[in-house]
Amino acid sequence: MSTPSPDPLPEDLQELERTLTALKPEAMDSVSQARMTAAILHADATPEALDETSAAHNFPIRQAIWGSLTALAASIAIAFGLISNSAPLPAPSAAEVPAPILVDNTPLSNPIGVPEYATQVSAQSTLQNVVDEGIIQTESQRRMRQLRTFYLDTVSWTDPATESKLQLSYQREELFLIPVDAI
Amino acid sequence: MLSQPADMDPTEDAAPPSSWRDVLAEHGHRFQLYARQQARNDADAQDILQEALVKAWRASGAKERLEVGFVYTYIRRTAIDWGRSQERRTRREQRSLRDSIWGQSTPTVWFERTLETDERHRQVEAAVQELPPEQQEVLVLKIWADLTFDAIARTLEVSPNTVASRYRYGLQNLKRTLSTLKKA
Repeated sequence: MSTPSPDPLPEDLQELERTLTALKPEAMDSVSQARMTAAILHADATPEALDETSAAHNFPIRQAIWGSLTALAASIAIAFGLISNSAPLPAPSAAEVPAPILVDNTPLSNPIGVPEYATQVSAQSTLQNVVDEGIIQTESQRRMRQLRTFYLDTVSWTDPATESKLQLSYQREELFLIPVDAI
Repeated sequence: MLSQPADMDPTEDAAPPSSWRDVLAEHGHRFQLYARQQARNDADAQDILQEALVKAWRASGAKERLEVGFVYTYIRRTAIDWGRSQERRTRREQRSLRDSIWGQSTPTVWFERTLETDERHRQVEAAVQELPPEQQEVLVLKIWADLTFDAIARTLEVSPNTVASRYRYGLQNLKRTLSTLKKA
């Protein structure tokens, strides 16, 4: 049963309402859209009902493919003394987009080129895209859903002595194999 | 473990249920706005929205449907849980440290900015973001999420009269702030 409408607003507040209505909420960008879509598709593929102690719940099997840096458009921004905001890398085109595990502040190893005296101040991984590559069968006849996720990793260091800053950005690809025969 | 909003009758105020893809396409920007209103920064807002969408989808039956009202309820509940979480507090502190180092602490943009957006609109947006949180969230849900007072009351778990009061006080506060800016 609906509540009776409250007293009508005075004209000046009604005019303010019209002004507010003219503001349009910012649209979701394509990465956010893909991320949210992937979240629901991933939830669809990984039901909560699975017993966490069972072998069937032993997923995801994660294989970090660092070698994919050469295949993808890896951008490296090096700026001692300067802060360089690298332009967003173009995300691969998406087919279906499931599996959204956002890895934030993942400890990343010190890559070549970073001085030892530099202190890492932040590390962030941002999910850019997810591609569902369908069901595969492993050598042990296990059916797995193969999901490939693409991240942009950004790591920042600072030299405490000079206050110079270094920021490295590079793309990372992960391959998930999720058992589907237990579903 | 949060309970499903069982007392919600999503069909009472909302349009007939659509597929979750259609709901996301049509309402995603509104969900995003409410998540930004509930969160401290856009990164938290995106995380909260992701978690809330999955929970709302499961509560809607975990198939094709996604009830709009459930999404708003779970955004709010998830944001409350996030506020209590120590782990996320640490993450926010790290983000704040990064922002302070890079000097890039900028407020989250809630509304579209176009060349035609006049100074008045920017002032209105700034004034909305300065409202007390309880008035702010009612305005967001009423004006931009286009929910009824009854639906907002179910989302916030308060009475419809309380919602109506917060709405009126929120508009009055906004009017006062904008009048002050106009005189300045």
